Amino acid sequence: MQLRGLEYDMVLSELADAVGEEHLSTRASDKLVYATDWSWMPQMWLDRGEEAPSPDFIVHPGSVEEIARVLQIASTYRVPVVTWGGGSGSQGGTVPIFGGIVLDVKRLDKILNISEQSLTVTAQAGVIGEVLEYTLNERGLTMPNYAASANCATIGGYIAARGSGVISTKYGKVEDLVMSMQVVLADGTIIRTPPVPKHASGPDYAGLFVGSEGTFGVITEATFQIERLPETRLFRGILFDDLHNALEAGRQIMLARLQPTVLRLYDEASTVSLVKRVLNLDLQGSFLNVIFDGFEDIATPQFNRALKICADLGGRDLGEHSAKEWWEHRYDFYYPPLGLSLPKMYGTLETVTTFDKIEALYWAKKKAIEEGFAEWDTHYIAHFSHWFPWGVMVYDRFIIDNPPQDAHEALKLHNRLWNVALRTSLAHGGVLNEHHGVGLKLGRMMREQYGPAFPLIEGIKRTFDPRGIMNPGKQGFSL
Amino acid sequence: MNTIPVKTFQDYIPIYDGDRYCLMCRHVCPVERVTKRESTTPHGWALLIASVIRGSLQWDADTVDTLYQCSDCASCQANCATDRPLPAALKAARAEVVRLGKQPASVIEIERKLREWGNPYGEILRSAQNDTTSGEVGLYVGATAQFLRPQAITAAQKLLGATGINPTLLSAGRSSGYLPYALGLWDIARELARQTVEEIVASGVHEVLTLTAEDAHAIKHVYYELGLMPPRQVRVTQIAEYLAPQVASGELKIRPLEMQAVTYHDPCHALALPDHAKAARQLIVALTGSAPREMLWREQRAAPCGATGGLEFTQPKLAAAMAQKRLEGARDIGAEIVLTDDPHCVSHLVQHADGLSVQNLIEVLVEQMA
Repeated sequence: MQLRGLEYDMVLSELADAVGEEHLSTRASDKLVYATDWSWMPQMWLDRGEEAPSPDFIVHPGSVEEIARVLQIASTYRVPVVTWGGGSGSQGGTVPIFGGIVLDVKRLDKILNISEQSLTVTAQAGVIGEVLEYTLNERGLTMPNYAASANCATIGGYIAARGSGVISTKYGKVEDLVMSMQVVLADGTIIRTPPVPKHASGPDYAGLFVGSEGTFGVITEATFQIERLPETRLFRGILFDDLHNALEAGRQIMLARLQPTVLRLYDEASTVSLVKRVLNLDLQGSFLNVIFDGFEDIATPQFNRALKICADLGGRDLGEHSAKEWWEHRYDFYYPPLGLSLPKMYGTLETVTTFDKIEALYWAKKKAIEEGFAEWDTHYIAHFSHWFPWGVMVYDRFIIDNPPQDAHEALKLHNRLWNVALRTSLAHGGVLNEHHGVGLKLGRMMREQYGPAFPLIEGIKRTFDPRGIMNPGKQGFSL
Repeated sequence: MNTIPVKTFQDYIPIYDGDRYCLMCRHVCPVERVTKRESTTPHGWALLIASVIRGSLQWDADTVDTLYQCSDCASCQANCATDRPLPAALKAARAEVVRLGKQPASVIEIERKLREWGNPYGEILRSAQNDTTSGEVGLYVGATAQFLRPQAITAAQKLLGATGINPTLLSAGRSSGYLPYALGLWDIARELARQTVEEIVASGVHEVLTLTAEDAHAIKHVYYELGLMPPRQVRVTQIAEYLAPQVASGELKIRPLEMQAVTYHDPCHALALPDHAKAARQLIVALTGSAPREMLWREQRAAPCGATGGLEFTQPKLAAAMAQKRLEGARDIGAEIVLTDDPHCVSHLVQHADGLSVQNLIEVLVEQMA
């Protein structure tokens, strides 16, 4: 949907009036950079010289009221609005496939309140995660959502994508940390969710915005639960001969409710490739990082109990060096040239299920990918990194070193592979995704996950966004 | 003069390609913190250049303007886990833009001035050129101190005098070559660098003290990138790094000064000088008796004030906004006095101080010499 003629100029002039000329752009250099987020599909599309999915306008509103005005204009002219935080999403959630307005929230960058009494922080949605973290650290505090994207993702994006971080096993995912939000709806109405998340004032309506990827409204402010920086962190690397016993160790640690901060378990394929390449650790088997934190006199006995579980299941104690190395370099995996990048084809297929199903799910996906796409010499690697009291998430990836060079052929293969992977996850008790979101990439599969419930979800969407302007084409919602 | 191979635009293509979709340093980019635009971030610039190479964009007024908004602070590389040389790659892209004759009018004007005067400010006075002192230590004056903050030169001379050094003044009024290097004017940059090296060698000094971090960085590191060998067996040090041990040892005595609510601005390019942040803070402790209040953006994640990268000439609004942002950071922590030890930063920040007191640490130290 490219706007033209009088309609284009009317929207342009009204947007300029709403946010100011200097905060509105139609420059080619801006349009290009907002054509792609961190996901493979639009990056490949640009890389191969195809026409980028370009916005008509980019706006940088400086207040919630300006956002409301932008949405009113978009609603009047029925122009799509894509909310942009850090652009670090891996699912194409911010790709403006129907053009329209990209609404960049990064000018909403104020940290409004830090309460050391309640351990909460309230900030505007455009604050970059790591900037918030720097600010909290100055006071000995931390927001325990250590996402790999923290250097670039905004806190609004954390919520919109229902994200997670490397210490979620102890401190929870973002939906466990967010307490309340301010949201601007499609017609410009500004609302606030209840001030606390635990209540019996009806269902968790606020939860509708968590993971909504800009399809229900624009999150403009949020309050999160925070923590004090831990007194101690305890590290240990453990090497198992195989994945089975390593998974069993993780299960027993979780069922013993020992509260590990990190259980990072690499399958054999990741241990010999990724761990070797990034951390320079030459190991054979399944490598498990065990990290506990908190008060020393509480964390130490829990840690020791976890180590005993590992030892009883044949885990070899590697000492603390390897686990510390991983902690110090935990984000290095995403820097060039260490991270996955074009011209390869790759994707993070991750899902989550209960302990009784996880191993079968892993092997089924590995087989489906490696055997089903053997003609492309497809690699499958995985680690298990977000553990719950009832199960674990598998962060599995596929990598094709030499995919088709033609963009259309490459996309066809990419989507076919994803369909196989997602259906395998669903068939084995998993879900489409655990913490990266749905976006453009997985939207078509929402109907398969939710079945007869999906029309009801579409009804909720129509209630929030009757004119269908909020990030259309994402999460399976139509224009 | 010895020369070494210079990396060109073509050599940096893997960097543009590799960094175009890497977002891992955006949080430390001081330009993004002001503009909030994705296109003016490290990955935005890399994507822009890679897209020009691929033919999906061209060098035109829009794209060239965007390229010239990088402040060249090198915070992206300093905070990169894999040490990606994007700052050098962006300067190589600007050199390519210049080679194609697509540079902005402001850059053409600076080139004219540099060719005429050796600096972007004005004619070098004969009196500044004729220093006949000869000794072991040279005080590199350069262009910015000479034209924007001459009192910094006098202050440095007095402080050095108190330690028994009568320094030879070097390059008074002449750019080190860093400014044209940053703007892609590599021919004139190389020529100014060559003149600087020759003057240092001819002076016979064994140590060169600079007033700005940028000049120390230029002589120590950047001349290699321009294909020149820095002067052999000459130590180059920014003056705060020289003075800190002098004060600590008691060689240079400083009377304590009661200063409330002081913060410190790490000068532009101080990131390239690993010992600088600690040395400057040691001087502040010696002066005030306590450590400065620290801004969020400091030391390894220090933010420039807008005086670097030629922004004052090519992007004056952005340069001003960056200064205001820097001073806003000082206000956020309740500071009333901003100390820094770089005359260029001082001269830039004072224009935007708006109630805050911005002072040159070196000049304050002179006032407090025992």
